[in-house]
Amino acid sequence: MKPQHRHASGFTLIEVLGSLALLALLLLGVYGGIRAATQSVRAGEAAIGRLDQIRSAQMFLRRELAQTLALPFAKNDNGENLYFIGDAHELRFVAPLPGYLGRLGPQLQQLKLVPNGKGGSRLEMSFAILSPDGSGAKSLGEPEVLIDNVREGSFSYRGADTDQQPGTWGDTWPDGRAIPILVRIDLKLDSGDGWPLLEVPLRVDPSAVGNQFNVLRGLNRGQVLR
Amino acid sequence: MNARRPIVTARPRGVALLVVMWALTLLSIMLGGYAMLARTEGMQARYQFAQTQAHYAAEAGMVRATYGLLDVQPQTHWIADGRTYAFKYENATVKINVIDEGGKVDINAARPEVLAGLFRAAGLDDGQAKALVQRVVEWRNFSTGPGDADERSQPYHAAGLDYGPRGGPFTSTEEMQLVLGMTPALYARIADVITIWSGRDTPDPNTAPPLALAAIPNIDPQQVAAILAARQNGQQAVGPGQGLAGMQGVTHSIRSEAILADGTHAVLNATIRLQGVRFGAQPYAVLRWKEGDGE
Repeated sequence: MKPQHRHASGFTLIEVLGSLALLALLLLGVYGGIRAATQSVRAGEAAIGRLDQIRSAQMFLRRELAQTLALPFAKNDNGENLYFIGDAHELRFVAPLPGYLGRLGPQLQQLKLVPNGKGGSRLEMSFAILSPDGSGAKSLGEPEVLIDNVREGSFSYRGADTDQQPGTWGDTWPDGRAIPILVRIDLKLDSGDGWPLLEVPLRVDPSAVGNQFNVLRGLNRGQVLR
Repeated sequence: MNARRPIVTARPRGVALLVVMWALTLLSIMLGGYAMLARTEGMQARYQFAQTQAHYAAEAGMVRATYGLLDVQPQTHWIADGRTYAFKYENATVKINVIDEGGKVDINAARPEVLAGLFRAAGLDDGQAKALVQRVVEWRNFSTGPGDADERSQPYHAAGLDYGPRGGPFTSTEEMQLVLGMTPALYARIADVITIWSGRDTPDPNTAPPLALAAIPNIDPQQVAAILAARQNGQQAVGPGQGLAGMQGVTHSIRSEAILADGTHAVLNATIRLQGVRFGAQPYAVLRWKEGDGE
């Protein structure tokens, strides 16, 4: 009986239980290690993705704002051309898009901070083609989200220096007949990632460009955009 | 007992080894991927850093060119006929070309013959060039009424486009791409020699780039070659509108390219108008500002 039993199994119950317990401990340790690694990799990836998003948003905004064109896209009450409209949470300007999108001609671009339904807001950009025959701006699809989960943010604008005093920053850009020389986009992000303060110089001076466009029929026909 | 021991110890050790190996493999795959990601991110950050440096070097070139153009000393005054000026700025080499807008074909003011000459020089045959000139003229001329505008829009709608011609001057050179019959390839060829700022009906032969020179009516290839050769020697060109007039243009297109030692490069294209030094006014105004070389 005894030799037979020894031959048949080879393990005592204690040994099996002991080895199972050891194996379980080992698996637990391995699983814990892998889980911790997965989590930290995932967190790292998320941080990298976020940085990437912030960087591309900043590069895009800097480029587009710097390339603002002095093309009127609306009229004020006196029928004067407006080139730039901006307040604390929304701004509109005309600039060409990079790449193949540029073939569609200069576009009316609208940058906006909208509530995202989670207590914060998101930075959205939408584009519209300025139709050459003055039939109004045609929107190009849904707005693109540049940055989500913005806790708070605002845009501000700085006018040109005069001989007497340097330009000052303001929350709105009251006179759309001119283009601010600097636009500041200041955001606070939920995740605590820093948003490097973005201040973009706008180059074009509509006062040097403007006169010849006053005769544009097509734009006179275009409705005022609100 | 003695015979069994090796089996008992060998079995769990084998499993443990396998488990540990698996775990290590998984971890190394994960970490390898992560390391790649982090490296790419670092490279992107470095690229952005270099790009920013190159950008501002190009901007320095832009300001230097403006200064050169404003300079009244004949020896140091910059000549706006497309020649290359180069200088070192910190660790970047900056190359600048300045072209007087007067030397380009003004798509709002050019006579139809000039436009036809330009399109022919860019590779269209006579018939195509005529048809395209017709479209361009249609685009920039005021329509005489709603009926006329509708009639002009007809071919555009027939071609599946949802707009018609503007019926007014071009507001940007990019708008030329919207004209019916303008192909991307043709536009790419002429983009550098068209303008909306010169107001001249033919390009000024003193500053015109070769393609714009060829667009001047009644000019033959020998004359073009002679003008270019004369320019190389630093002489005034011959031909209509000769003299110093071409050198006194106030609107210039500047292309500034900065190249860093590691090959990073940035390009700025701008059109500026010199306004003279007046009280309360900037010495120059930017009419167009474009970053990068793409469309």
